[in-house]
Amino acid sequence: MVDIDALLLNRSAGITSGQLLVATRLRPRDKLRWLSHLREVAPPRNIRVPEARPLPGSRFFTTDHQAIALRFGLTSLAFLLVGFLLMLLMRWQLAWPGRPIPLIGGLFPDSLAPGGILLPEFYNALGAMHGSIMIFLGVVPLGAGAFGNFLVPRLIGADTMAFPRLTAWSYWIFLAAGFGFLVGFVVPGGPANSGWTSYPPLATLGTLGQDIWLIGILLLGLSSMLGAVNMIVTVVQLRRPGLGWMDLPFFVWAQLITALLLLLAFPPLQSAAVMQLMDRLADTSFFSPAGLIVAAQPLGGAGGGSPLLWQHLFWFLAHPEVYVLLLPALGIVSEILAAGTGRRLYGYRSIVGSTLFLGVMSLVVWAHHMFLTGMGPVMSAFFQATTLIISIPSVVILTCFFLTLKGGRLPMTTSMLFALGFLPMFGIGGLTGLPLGLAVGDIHLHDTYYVIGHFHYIVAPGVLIALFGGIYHWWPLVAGRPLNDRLGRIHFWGTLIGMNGIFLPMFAMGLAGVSRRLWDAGAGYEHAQSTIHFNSFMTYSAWLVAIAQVPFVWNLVMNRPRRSTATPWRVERTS
Amino acid sequence: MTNQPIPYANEPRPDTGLRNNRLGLWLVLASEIMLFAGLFSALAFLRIGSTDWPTSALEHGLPLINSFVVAASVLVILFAGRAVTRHEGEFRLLWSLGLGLGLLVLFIRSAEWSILLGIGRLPSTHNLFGIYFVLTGVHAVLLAGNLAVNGWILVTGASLARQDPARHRERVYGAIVPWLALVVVWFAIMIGFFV
Repeated sequence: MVDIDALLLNRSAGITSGQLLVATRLRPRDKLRWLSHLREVAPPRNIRVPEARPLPGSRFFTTDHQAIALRFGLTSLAFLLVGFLLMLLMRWQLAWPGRPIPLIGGLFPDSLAPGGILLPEFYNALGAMHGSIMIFLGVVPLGAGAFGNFLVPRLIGADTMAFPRLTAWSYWIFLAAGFGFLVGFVVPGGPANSGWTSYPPLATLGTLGQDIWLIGILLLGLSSMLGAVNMIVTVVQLRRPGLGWMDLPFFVWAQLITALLLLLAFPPLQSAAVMQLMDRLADTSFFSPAGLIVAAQPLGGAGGGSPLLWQHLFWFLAHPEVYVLLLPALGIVSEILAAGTGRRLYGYRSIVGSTLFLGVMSLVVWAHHMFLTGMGPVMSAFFQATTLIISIPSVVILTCFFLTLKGGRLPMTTSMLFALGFLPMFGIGGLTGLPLGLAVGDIHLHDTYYVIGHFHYIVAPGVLIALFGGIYHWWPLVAGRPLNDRLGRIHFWGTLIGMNGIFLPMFAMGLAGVSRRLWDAGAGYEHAQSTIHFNSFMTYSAWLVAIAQVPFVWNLVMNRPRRSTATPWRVERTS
Repeated sequence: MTNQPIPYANEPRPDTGLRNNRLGLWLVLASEIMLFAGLFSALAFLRIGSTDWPTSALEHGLPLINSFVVAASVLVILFAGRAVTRHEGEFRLLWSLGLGLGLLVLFIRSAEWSILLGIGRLPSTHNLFGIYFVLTGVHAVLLAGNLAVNGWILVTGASLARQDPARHRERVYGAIVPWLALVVVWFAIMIGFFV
């Protein structure tokens, strides 16, 4: 329970972090006091427009930001499940190469898995689609589309997003792109199988699924642009009058900077996607050098292009994309910590400044993914320097989060467990990135399992854990009641332990030099033998993660919103 | 729920001095700039990496004529933008003329493409042609979108101008600024390929 007197004493005028959610941890008699306080510091707005101009077709085409946010949330959770299931198939193959997949192996056509045994091409496709779905259709829309659209208007005292129709369009275009990705599984040749990075010339030679993937990327870029414009205008223009920039909850800052990154970083990938589509459909050679021989035949087109051009354009998006994944998670953790401890964030201004710096710097570090492409020492030194510099604001933010906890009384709720779980996981993910930011380390570790371990520690036990925490934290706002705490703890411990079981051994495998893209887990390589036995343990750990999601889904279903239930924490600011 | 309008849609917010739609418009343009930045950086990358860059093989006459038409269209559109606050009839005339010039730009572009394709300068024959077709194609798609918006304003503008002149002006503004951006992109294309 939170001490209401301490809470009111520590709050300055204006809307502050976790304003509504604090109420979830108050005694019933204190809840009214807290809500009254909020009414005082958040005076009534003179304009209320939850549903500006509904599109024809009533609720299905609603423009209400909360309804659309929930759709973003449910859809992205469904895509996360799909991406996770693809990973389970891969993990089976890696643990027991050549052994038929049990139960469902016979469902796959012989062109993908004859006798239930994955073909290498299908393994590649699973890898490409796992990454694409988890990043573009799972984590980003959950963090920005669901949490952002749901909470930002509430936290800034607005009643709606600035452009309600854009909110809806952003969702529907995202959904179309998602279905497009999935359609790849049923077209001849299967889905894209050139990795989530779609490096040419492999991607240029890929199946029809690659075309669908590229069209999906174009649509996702459009969806992101609409959502980002909406978010930025909402924060800049619809803040409650008098709510200064430094009064904004950090969550709002995180969403704002995420939107800026999406707005500026995605278009270059869209231009690259157009060019790769041209390479595939019109025989141009933007990414194909002259003299390429494929299957003993010269590749068509004039040649003269460069695969590095794709890499530059791709990573110009894809590195900021890491922060697009991360920043909403940092915002969520900040809210949980502030609400749980009942205190302001330690070093709020430092955190905001660091996040702004992080956003800007994320646009000038992309080529650290390309140290092995033969770039000159000057360029290499530049990108090594920017990469090391960008680690500083991350450390500042993490340190401030830890210092927020200092001396606080932590209610060990499920959401707090997830927030506390995020901190060391993100720390591991960040610290293991440092050797990859230096060319001398990256030369050895590039394209090994070490890289997989590093970025999965950021995204899976890092970002995903935080997003789960956010769901537990804000579920009362959705359904009018909290999720079950006991089930939540089972979910937390199963997920955290399982994820560490998957990703921790990857560092050892990577340090041994095992490549990330081996269909048989490196069975044919001498240097992989010392670590190959980790794969079965990692697969069992993946099953633990899968089992741990059952109580989560059950929890959501049992505590789903019901029409008759009023939302108890909602502050109705009526004039 | 009420049907009151969203704040600052048509009037500026006092502390930021911005209207929602204008800020949104500038953000969309920022995104568009990044899209073309990707394409122009590809042009630079390919050109620097190529030992043979036969710009003389491109059709020169029609793009030059198109440049004059584009320049004329921007003048007409700007005058139309000034007229919207003074005289609706003058605005409609100038706006129609701007729309016509925009269509002429697309027509000349298609004629130029037909000539290039007809003499075998396909996108696949050289990266110069490839990136030229991509850049001018993306430009044409965005121009066509802008023309569609301009046509919609022409059709629906008269009644809106009577009912809500401020909103009408905002719509016109919202169509002019992307037009100007596309004009800038067009001249950047000209410089990138012909200068």
